[in-house]
Amino acid sequence: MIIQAEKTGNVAEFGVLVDRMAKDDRVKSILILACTENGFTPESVDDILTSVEKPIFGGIFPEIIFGREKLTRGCIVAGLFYEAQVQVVPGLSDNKLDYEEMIDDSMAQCETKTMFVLVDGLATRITALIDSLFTVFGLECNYIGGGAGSLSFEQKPCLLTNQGLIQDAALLAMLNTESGVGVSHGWMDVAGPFKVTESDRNVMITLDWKPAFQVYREIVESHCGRAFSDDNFFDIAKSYPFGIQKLGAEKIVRDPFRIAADDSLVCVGEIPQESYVHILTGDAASLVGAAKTAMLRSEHSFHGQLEDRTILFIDCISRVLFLEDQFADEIDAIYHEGVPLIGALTLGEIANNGKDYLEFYNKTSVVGILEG
Amino acid sequence: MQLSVEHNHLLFYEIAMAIGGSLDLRRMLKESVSTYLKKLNCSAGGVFMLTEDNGQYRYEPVFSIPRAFESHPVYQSVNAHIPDCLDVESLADFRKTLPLSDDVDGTSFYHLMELKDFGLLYISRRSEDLDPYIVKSLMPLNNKLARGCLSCLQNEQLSQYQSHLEEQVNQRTSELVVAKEQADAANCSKSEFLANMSHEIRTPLNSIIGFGELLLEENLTEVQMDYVKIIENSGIHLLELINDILDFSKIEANKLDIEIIKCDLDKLLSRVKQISSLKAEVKKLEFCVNLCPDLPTHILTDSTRLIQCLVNLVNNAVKFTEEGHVYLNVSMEDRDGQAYIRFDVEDTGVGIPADKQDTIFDSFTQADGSTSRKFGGTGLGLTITKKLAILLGGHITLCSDVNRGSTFSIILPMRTS
Repeated sequence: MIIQAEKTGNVAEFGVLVDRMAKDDRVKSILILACTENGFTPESVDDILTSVEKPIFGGIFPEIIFGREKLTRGCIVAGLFYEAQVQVVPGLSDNKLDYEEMIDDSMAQCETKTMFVLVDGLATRITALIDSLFTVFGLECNYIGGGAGSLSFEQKPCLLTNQGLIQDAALLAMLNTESGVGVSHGWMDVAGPFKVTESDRNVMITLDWKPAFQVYREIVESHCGRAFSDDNFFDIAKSYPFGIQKLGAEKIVRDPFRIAADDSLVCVGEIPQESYVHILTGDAASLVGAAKTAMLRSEHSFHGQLEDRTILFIDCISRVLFLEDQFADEIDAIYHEGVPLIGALTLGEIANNGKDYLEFYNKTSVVGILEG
Repeated sequence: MQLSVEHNHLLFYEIAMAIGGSLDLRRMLKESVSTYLKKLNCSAGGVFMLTEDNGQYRYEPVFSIPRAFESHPVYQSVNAHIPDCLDVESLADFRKTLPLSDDVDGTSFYHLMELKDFGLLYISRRSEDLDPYIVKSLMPLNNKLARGCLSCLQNEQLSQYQSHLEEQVNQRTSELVVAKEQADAANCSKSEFLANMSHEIRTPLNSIIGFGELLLEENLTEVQMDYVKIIENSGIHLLELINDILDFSKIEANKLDIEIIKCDLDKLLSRVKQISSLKAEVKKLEFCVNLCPDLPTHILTDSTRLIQCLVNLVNNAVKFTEEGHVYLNVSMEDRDGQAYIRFDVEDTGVGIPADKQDTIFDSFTQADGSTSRKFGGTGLGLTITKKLAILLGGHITLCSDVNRGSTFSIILPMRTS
């Protein structure tokens, strides 16, 4: 894999990197990780993207990781030596669509060892897509990916494809390359379980038949000693996500990012009605420890060439907000001297190690080791 | 990772709540099985349905997640446990072996469980095997899933039955439409025939009446005069009957032309009065035409047909009234911004019982069988009047009390052009 980065966020610089990869005969497909602050728009980058004949898949994220550095501007363009088969699944908030029907069956027949799944992180039917992926492809390949988008939580074009910069969609990139994937989050129970008595996709409306925010506020304010005001919801909520329980695995974390008018809580990712959730919290040690655990799990599950590997770190942007300066410790937990490390700080993470049911996570560290 | 019993119960509750959310088998299985897999962190699962053919039972795969799972070693191992073809006894023996658990290469564990009266459910896990306590605890959930599946099958049968019934109804409706068209065509032919025949009969009848009138001017004996009068009156009566039949037939055969022109209302009503007043006088009934002050001088209508309607109604009123009055009241009314002119023919006659009022306008119908014997008539007068009122763009209504009288009203919209 050829990895190049630029830190200005300038469209022309981006164009140079993409063009260089497009012309390199060794490169068969191109992965792009870019920062929101670059201000890329379809008008500014579509000409660059649509002119490339090699498969492109990528996203625009709040921040990206290049080696030990966390970048808020710029982009990483990675030239992969293996060809990716890319499918765009549009309409990721459209209630009427059956993604199982839309996912190209023929792709399930090809030799896929690793699938990149990049989604618009503010789309409302990500879990439906993930369930459909599992139904079509099962656990015969490793999955890794996450949600693109901006921390402004305003849905904008955020997925980079050969068709241009798009939004409200998913990108599936299938690669016939070995990988290892590890997942962990480090969040622990504070209170619960609470029954989700009413929800609509990613909006948690009531908990135990009371408005969700009322229940959440009571627990969180008494735990952290701070009161919610008009402008500090996410500042407090970033430390108190929800956890959905499953048997024999870590809880699936759901990140509330906004209060709706009726005291509902809007989360990244869906919360099934009739499920039970806990309110969680963590500390720097538990979160950094989880990143280490994810790294160990990915190494354990990797069966490719050790000397020729790249680490792909998909970590939730809210962990950065939570850990602040200590986020450097989280990168250190992943970094291996001499092994290329690239990554994205995402709105939700997608991963599977070939054993557990495929899930869309929030506030979670996902480490992928890719051969080549 | 061990969870408390309470937490496991919550997981079972979540699975239970996901079962039976749809009456479509595939949709219901998708939601239920995917929740089993999610909550129990399984890597695959599916359902077999028990089918019977001539006493031989088979388990047929109907659903799996992932969907193309047949070539997977776990599926093949699960399938190897399921006998290909079973009779009642061997089926019972096989059921006794359930639930059964096994693994593939010590890495993929699976459990095959019974869905009572429906089939089998298998779930497979990769990370570690399920606790036997969990597998046992799934039994009530599996029973619920089995009942859900059976409900879906019953719903499918009901849907098929309903669809079959709808098909039959549609077919029968089509047949009835064809039959009605044929009947209408036959009725139309009959009406055409009657219209033609009535016309043919009128010609000689007019001769009989005309020559009867001429004969009355001759020097006849009193007896001869009486005979000729009987011939003339019978001829006139017969002509009235034939005119009614002719009109009715024309309407039925859609051959009656309506000519809407500007008519002088006073002249039109005078004509009605002129035709009908003599009959009222003979019966010593008070007959008058009452006009409201806001009436227009002219209206747009077919005056011949309107006169026919009004004369019919007034003559009818006179016919069925022994004492009192017959009024023709003409007024204007406004409904929803539309102006109407209404002609109310009011009498103090025998009245029409409430249970007969619905059928009084039907062809060949009079209030009771004795009416035609007592008063004569074809029973077509009101039918023709109603049909003409409709052809004129309006409608006819009836308000009647037995022994107090009736009011028949023709209500026509005021045409502007």
